[in-house]
Amino acid sequence: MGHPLTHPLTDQHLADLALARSASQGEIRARRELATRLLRRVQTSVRYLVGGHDGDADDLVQSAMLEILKHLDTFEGRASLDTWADRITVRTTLRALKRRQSRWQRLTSWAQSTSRSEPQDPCADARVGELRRRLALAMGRLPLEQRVVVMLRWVYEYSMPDIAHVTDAPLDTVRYRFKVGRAKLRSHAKKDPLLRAWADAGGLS
Amino acid sequence: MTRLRNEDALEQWLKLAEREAAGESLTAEERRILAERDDLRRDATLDGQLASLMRFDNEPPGGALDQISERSLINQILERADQHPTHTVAAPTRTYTPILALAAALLLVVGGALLLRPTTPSSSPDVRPPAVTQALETHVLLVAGEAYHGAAALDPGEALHAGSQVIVDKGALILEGHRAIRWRLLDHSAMELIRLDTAEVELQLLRGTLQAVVDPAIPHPTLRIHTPHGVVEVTGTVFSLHVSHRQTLLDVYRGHVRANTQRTSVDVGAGQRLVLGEDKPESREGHALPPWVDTLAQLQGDHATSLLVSTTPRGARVFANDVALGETPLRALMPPGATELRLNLEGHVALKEIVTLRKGASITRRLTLDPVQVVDAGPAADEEPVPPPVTPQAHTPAGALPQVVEAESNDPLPDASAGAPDPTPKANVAARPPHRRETPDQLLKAAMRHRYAKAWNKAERGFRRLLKKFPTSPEAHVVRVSYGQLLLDRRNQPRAALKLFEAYINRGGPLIEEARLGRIEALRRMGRSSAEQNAIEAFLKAHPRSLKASALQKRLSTLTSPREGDTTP
Repeated sequence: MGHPLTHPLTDQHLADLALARSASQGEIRARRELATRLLRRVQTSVRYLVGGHDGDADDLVQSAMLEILKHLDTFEGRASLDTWADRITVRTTLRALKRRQSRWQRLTSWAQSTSRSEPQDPCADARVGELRRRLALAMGRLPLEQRVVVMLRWVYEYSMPDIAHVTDAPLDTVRYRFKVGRAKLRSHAKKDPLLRAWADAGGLS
Repeated sequence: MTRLRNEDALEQWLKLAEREAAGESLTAEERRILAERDDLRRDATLDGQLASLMRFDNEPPGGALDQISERSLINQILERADQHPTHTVAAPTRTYTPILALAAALLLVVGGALLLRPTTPSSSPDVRPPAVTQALETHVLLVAGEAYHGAAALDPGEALHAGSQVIVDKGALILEGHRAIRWRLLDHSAMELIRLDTAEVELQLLRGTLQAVVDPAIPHPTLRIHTPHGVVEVTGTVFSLHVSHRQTLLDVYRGHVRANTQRTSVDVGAGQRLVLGEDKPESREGHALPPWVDTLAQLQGDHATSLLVSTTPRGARVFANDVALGETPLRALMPPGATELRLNLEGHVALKEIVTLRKGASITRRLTLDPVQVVDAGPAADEEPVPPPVTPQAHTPAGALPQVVEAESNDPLPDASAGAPDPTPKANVAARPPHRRETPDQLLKAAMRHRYAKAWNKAERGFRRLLKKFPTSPEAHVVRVSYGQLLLDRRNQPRAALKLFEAYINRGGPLIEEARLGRIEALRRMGRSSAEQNAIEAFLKAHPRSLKASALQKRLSTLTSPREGDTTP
């Protein structure tokens, strides 16, 4: 599932363009369809970028969605609507996170990440949710720039040039951020007893 | 999935693996190369596992919203987006300009004709009947600390509309929903404005503390506040609400408030306190109006002066004409006139200044507070004698906390000014020996470092020091859980630990799950089966997907099973 950012217009992109135009002109049904389509994607991006703090994430999801709706008239169909929305989500969220990275948040994040966690053998349903929560927390311990790159690469399988485009960063920088971020995330995962036990047992397979 | 570095390395590794499999002895360097291959392979496998976990089911971490919540969120987003329309709507494209110009001209002609026509009531179906209610705005009167509307920081004078969500991370925020309705939100509060019009002001308090004054002398809309545990309706009163995960506490100081839940509908009068859901209110000690009533009255919405007070260091209490406003940095809308400002910060010389506030003007005061002069050489912070560790079994028959926490736990409302009707500076401030400046953050980090180094005594001293010196700081709030766990695991003091966990649970926070688990464990060790059962039920309700859920279910069934055969009434 690649996300080329420059490509000849396909039917899907033309449909995206039509949807965005209708929505930007205030057509209620189109706005709702677009918001419904993008909401989960935006939620996923924001929660990984925020690092698992739900209270903040919900506000930021709304902010990102509002920005997307506000700037629909700038969507030109050169990328897919999802990619275009990702770019806005990443920028909006990073801006807000940098502004709101108050002492209190850093502290609670730190306290939470160092809180006691023992290996468990939970029932399967709860386990994946908990593992993902812990993974999101581990993401929250990466520097913001590395978080973005790892999220775009692993969640949406962006290519490195596409990530460079979305984040406005040089390609080599993106590669470096991914390499370092991935290693850190791996290291955090290895230190988390539950994630480690899960990975040793074969992961989701 | 395995990412090998290059073809040569692959070939080398394969050969080595074959030799190893054939039982050949390998050199140390060859074994290192093989081990490196295994490490890389494991890392690559782990990367793949983590990536697949991250995009599991294409759902956000923490789970997707259910359909109803998702629809509600989308509605909310679309409503907010409509309040700030897109560029296209605001600036139509050139293609449509002639059509729009024509439409505008037509509108002008029709509008003019309608205006010039003699008015005959109800003569035309085109004329909309006058609205029964009129929309209101809520205005920010004071921000002391960090308060946000969505991701944007709030400022005094800002208007909020129905649908606005407000979070107070730290400090206090004062809002005016109507000339007769003002309320204050304290730190860690979250609120949403649901309806704002001349008939009703309706809001939802999701968590935290709300203190309100509704003036019965001025005609006003009904104030209705939804909480997770019920709804309160107000028409002219002074009251406060404190919402925690466990309960909603209503204190009424003047007038009456009706509290409705699914089961009950209770009228709460002045001097009474009610836990929402209970049938009867309790009498509260003291009938005096709390000091925050004066704070709310001190501010002014219309024709006000914008006052900004900041100090170095931050956190000084600001009094205007002897009424506590909040802590610096503080921004507020004040009535014009001469006002005596006073600033107090522990360990610093108090400042007093008379400022003249002019209508519509802005006044900024950036002040530096000097530490008090050295009177005599006091002990350095690190050498200060630490109170002996608390042994709750010995002197806490009522389950009291270690002393440093007790003052706060007695008052569920974390109001800095609540206990100070007379805000005169303390007489001993100037004579206090100087201490090396320590911040709550430093104390917390130092204590946690000791804790992870398993230096339990030092960690405990650090926790106690933080709770004693900065009992209302966010760091002290967080540390209650860690300290409670330490008391439980290392000191076998479940009673003291329980108090700490409950203090944390009452105010809520990111460690709420750990605090609830701690409470259960403390109750279990104290042998309070019934309370433990309730605590487990509350935990399972709040964290049904917790890792501990299945173990706690088992424990719950163990606790409940003997009762089935119990014949005592």
